[in-house]
Amino acid sequence: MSDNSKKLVLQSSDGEDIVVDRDVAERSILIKNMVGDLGEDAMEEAIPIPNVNAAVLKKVIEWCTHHKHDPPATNEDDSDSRKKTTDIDEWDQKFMQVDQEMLFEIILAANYLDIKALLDVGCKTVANMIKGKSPEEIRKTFNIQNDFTPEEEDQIRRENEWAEE
Amino acid sequence: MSKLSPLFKHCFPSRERRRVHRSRPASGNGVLTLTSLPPELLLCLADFLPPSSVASLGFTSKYCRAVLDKRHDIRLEQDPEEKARFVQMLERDVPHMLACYSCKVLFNWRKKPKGVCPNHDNHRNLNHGSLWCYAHRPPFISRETVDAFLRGYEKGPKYGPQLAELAHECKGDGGWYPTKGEKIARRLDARVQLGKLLLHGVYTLRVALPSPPKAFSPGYVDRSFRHTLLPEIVKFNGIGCVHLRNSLPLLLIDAVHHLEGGVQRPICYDLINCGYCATDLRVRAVVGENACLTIELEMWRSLGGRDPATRLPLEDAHFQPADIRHDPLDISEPPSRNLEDLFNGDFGTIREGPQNRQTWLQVWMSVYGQEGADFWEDLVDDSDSAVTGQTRVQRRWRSQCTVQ
Repeated sequence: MSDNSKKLVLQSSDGEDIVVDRDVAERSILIKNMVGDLGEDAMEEAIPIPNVNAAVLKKVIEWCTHHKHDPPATNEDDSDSRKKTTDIDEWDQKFMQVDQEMLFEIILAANYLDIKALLDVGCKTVANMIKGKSPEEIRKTFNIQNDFTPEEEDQIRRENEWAEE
Repeated sequence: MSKLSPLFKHCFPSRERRRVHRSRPASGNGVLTLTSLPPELLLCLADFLPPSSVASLGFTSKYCRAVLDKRHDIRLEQDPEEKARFVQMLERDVPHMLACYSCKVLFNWRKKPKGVCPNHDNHRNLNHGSLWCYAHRPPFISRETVDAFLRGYEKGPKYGPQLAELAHECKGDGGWYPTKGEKIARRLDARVQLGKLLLHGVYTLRVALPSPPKAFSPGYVDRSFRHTLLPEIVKFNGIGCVHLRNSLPLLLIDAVHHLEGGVQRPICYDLINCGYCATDLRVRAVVGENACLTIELEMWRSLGGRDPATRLPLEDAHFQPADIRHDPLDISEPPSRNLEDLFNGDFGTIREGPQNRQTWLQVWMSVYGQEGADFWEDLVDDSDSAVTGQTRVQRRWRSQCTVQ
């Protein structure tokens, strides 16, 4: 059995070492599998997380710390029940009140570190920003460049217009 | 990099995941944004969106369209409800286009007939027009025209026609028949209150007072007096909602009868609510100077808001055949709707003084039904009626059916 009182050191992409409780870090399936494979060796050296910078990693650890007692995510409940709702619990909502850059960094990090529940919270947050918005409103919200030519745009829109005789 | 790196080598994420992470595309200025997400994360995100929003997202850029098109029905061909929602969202980006809630497509509201869906005649529901003015355009208001005006009111002249286009004054034939002599003066206007389009009309006719009305004794009906006024009052026929049928002249006669005392508070001064559609009216008769009698009808109609879910069945009744009934009318309960107050922005304030008495139109019609029959008999007997004839009616009706 793993000893949960032990600490792990995670090294961010920008070279910062961050000490974190093992049970917190193991919310990440990636880290959990690594530690499982390496055993005690993993406790002695900093674990490199080459794709996540310190600011994002700390944010992710903050989330994992708050959620460390959650039942472990069952890998296979990918199905409908997970997807249907976009309700986000209050703490998570507050946690996700960050600028868009950080929000997408968290989503990418959650995907990389394989923290499904955090990835879902991130996706739900973005989904709620998209819901009910027109294409142009979505472009404005996320600063997306409209790269359709006017002809292409007309063509797509015509699918939704009354066909003139 | 830590010296443990070689140890972790085999534990790092699959090549695919790493590739995804490294190759993240950034927006033009290098800032991470929605389109920086790799395809599988964009798809993961789309799983939390209703189909209408997936379609909306697929409209934002080539990248989003290419990714979402593979896994989602972004044309919403199988999902009419979501398609309707999508079209309503899409409408916000194109001011000259209006979403038709019946066809679930956009149409150019500026094209003639203005504000009417080109597919209007094929709508399965709400495909009747509500009469506005015979003499001016638009003569009829369709359900989509209401939507166009509401949108124009909310977002400005680029997005829809303005309420001022519904306001006018005119003096012409008011009802179903071309008439002789003095015409009915109309003052029509419209407002939006609580998201609903409300129409208001005042119809006035000034006629010379016939021989001095006699002081009525209770139960006495002066048919001669009425007979003289009848050719004038009949000009009102056709004004009001379709459920009035031929009763409006009779309501006006009732008002005239009560001019000289009679009953303390004649029923004709009540706010009369139609139980089959959202139309309220009042009739008045006033003797002015120079022995003139002014007969007036004031009418308020609520055509409802844009969202079908918040509209009342009686508001939709304006756009349905006159005989369609949604709920049985319970005439034992007095009406409580007051479109006059709603139009004036007076929501639920308690008045001082006597209570504003209200009556169902249908109660009035059932009480005065027989008198109505007499009335029309009198009219047919009167060869010198102000109504010139009925032959032209059909032509007139048809020629003015299109809104310009």
